[in-house]
Amino acid sequence: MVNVKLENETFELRNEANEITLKEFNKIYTILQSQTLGKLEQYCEVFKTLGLSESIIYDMDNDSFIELIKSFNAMTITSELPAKEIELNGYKYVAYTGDEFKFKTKDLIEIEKSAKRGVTNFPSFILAVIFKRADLTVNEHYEKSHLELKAKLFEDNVKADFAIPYITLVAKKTLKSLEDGK
Amino acid sequence: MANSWKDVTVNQFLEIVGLEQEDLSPTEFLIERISIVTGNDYFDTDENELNEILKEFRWLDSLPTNKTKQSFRQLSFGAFIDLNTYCTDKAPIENIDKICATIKGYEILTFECEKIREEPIIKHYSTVQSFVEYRAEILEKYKGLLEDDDPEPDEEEPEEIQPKKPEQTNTKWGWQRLIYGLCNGDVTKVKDVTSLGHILVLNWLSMESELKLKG
Repeated sequence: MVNVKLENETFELRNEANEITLKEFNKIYTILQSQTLGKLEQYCEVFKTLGLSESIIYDMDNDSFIELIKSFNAMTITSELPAKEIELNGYKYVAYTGDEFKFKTKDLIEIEKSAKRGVTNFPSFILAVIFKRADLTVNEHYEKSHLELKAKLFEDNVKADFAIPYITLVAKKTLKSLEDGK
Repeated sequence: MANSWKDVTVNQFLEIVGLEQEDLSPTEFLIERISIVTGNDYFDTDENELNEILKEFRWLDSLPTNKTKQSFRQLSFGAFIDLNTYCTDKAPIENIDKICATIKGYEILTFECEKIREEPIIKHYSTVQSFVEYRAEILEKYKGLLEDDDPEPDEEEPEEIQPKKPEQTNTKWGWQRLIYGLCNGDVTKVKDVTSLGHILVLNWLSMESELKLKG
């Protein structure tokens, strides 16, 4: 949490990944990927998503706004993966077995396809593809409706800090495999 | 196991060419290509295995060309017309079997085409590639011949006259019109005319057209 000081008042702003829901993170991710918004506009939208009112944002002087952007930590990249298993609604979801995270070719394809489709909840979708319910078959796992439901389930139950390391890792690996394949 | 284009049949190559790249994700496209030439399914491989497989099949990014040079000057006028049609009714590569069988001189194509589709693509790809280039040269060299002398005007005149593309010069009766002229309208002479060398016929027609203009 960071304090936003204006002339007479002080407001609190959630700015750490563990304070932001995955649903909010999806929105922030989309805003920061936007090609139509300028950098400052993007952060205006991000802070609005996190609950800062428009009037506060527009009352802020330029220097304070820049400082606020600098102190925004939610997107900080961490490479250490969180738990490889998670239990949600009574089901166990497993990201990988063994010591190292390796994704399957089919996972990579599903992730690339969702990026191509421009899904609005891309971070949640990545988690939905990676985390597989232990009691389901491979075909059931990749069913579109199952993946969509699971993405929602993650949105409602995990914070951004759980998703960011996986998203970072997947982005790195996707780029690497595309370069290797060239 | 496919190690190079030598191990890929024409049929497999056509399957690869037919993959709709825009419907597939980048990795899916690469994997589908490999699956076509090996018959294996790679969806369950992990990322390390995938990288190895992609490296192993990098040759799929190249074209299945060989260095043999081919001359097409011996083609009959009839064969050239058929080949021209195979190059325009769809992408030339999709008619690779018909093009190669016609160049080889087969008149009944069905059996020969089936045989060609089971042969290595490396044996035939360059033939099509060379013929496409040769055809472009010929059509450019003799472009005046395939245009109607007095084309019927369109009902509505376009505001601007667009330059004709090479394909548009093959008007409705393009080749038939030339054959009709050479036979003096006698259908029994069609075979005689179409068996003549295409260069001879095209030169003859050019000469005729020049003389007509001068006269």
